[in-house]
Amino acid sequence: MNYLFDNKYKKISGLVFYLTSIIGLYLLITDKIFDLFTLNVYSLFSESISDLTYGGGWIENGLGDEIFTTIIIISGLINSFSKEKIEDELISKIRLESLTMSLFISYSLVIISTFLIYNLSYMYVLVFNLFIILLLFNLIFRYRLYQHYKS
Amino acid sequence: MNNNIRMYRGKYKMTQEDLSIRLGVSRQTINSIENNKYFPSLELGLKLSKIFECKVDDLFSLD
Repeated sequence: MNYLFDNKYKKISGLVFYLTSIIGLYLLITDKIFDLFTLNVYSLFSESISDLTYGGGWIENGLGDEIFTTIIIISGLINSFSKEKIEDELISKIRLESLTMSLFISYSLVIISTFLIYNLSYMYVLVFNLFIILLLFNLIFRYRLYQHYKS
Repeated sequence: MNNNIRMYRGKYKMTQEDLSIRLGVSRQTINSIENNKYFPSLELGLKLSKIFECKVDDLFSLD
């Protein structure tokens, strides 16, 4: 059992992943992402996660960032973990090496950021790290596959 | 580790494509094995020895 998705999902998930990543980043930079799809939602920590006494409750929240986060993560996972047309042991090795490299790079960035970025800004580093692991893995894996197929 | 896959493939008049189809791997994987860029698993080694009707030792050797 290799837990991989079928090859037929690779192209469409790749398109969705890169498109939503670019649009999501643009909406985040322009601060528009938090105003999209405003609804009343149930939140486990309605005020602050550091103050547990507030407890859960209904709050008004823009779901733009939640929707983009979900789409980017699901499409990124499907694209990165879809089978190649001929899925053999060398492809598995390339996938594993790419994943290892992306983890090393992204956690190195977290360690560096830990000593350079403080307070609330550090939270953004952790949020970006959610996506950087997946994005780096996808890019490294694609580059390694390109080299492999070129040989 | 060295291998004689290319020699055996020539002996059996097979292209990299032919061999890759019989093994269920890509042609590029056969190319990587022949150029010592990738060392195949035991399973693939045994499949190769079956195709070329020889021992695994005849196909692969340590430096």
